[in-house]
Amino acid sequence: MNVLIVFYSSGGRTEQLALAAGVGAIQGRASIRLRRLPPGQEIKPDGMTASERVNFERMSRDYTAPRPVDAEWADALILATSPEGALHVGAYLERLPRNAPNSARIAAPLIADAAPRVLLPLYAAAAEAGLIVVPMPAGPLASADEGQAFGRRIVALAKAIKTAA
Amino acid sequence: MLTVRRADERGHTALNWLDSYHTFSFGEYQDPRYAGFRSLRVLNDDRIAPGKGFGAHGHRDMEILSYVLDGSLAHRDSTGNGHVVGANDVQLMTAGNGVIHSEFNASPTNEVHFLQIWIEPDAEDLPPAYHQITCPTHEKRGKLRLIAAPKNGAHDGALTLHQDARIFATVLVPGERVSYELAPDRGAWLQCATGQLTVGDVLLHAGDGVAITGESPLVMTGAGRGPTDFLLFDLA
Repeated sequence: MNVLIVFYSSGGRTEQLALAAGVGAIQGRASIRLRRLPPGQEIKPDGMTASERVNFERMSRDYTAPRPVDAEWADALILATSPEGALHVGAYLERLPRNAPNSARIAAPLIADAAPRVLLPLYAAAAEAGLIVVPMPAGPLASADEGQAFGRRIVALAKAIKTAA
Repeated sequence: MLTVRRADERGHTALNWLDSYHTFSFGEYQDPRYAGFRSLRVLNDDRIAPGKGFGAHGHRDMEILSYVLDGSLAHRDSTGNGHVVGANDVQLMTAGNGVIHSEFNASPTNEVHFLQIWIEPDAEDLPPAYHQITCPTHEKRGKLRLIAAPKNGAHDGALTLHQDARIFATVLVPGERVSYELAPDRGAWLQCATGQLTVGDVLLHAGDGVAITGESPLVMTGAGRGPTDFLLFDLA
């Protein structure tokens, strides 16, 4: 089971959410790839706190951007973002090939403190890309444990869907 | 019986930032003749360019040791912990039920040279953990310095492995020798990291390894012109 975690993070908070989901996916015995979407033009490192800037520069070094082969490889996509970055994740989903060889793939947006107005466009974009959408659990994700549980759940669902398909 | 694995026969990955030799199958290098030796699954001889490294990636159910020969390696994990592993340091990461980490050359100017060793643990779903020790050259010079051992066989200053395996690090100058009693039911892997040494009648150069079974005592003697740094694995 292959899980691609694509995230949009400028200061490191969403990265922690993505990492927690990734650890959960590993706990579920999946292989993972972590990919960071390039920062948008609205990101201004000069306006960041010192720790945010350190994280921003470290993430620019630690991660590569998602490539088309990553999505082809994946059985499940976890899409972690802040509400502010949801636009970029939506744009990523729009760029995914519409005739992907693996039609049983699922997409799982993951946003801490997400409001429906942020999530619903992401769900729509994932569905338009031909992905099976797994909604977020109700309520904010407040801890790494909850992020890990989310990752494990996505692996379990992806396995079940793949088996059924 | 001694079965030699020569340095120039190993798998090789050459990227613009990484020069890695694989004693056993790893990544895209797969050879069923060299899938590992007992619980020793991976032994990579890595050189990483300044400031470069392995981005965030995951591991599960593996004991991963990094033995730094030259330079320094910056390590960061999914819990936010960061460590720098320098020359003569050994780090053990128990991947356990899942961990994500990155490893980068900590220097912007100098290459880092290290061995990365994967040992299959004797249990699954262990809690992830990191431990690190320093083994200065004087602790390894002319003796078998125990760097990792199972909990019930660990000594002070050795890392605790979740496997019935003992790992020793040694530095010998030419002509200097150490010996080791290998129990009849166990196997040994000897990896020459730098320099030259002999084990029995076999001369090993940097990067050479040898699988040993049914032989004891093992007598290792420094050879060549300079010191040699080697690892000895005693494996169930």
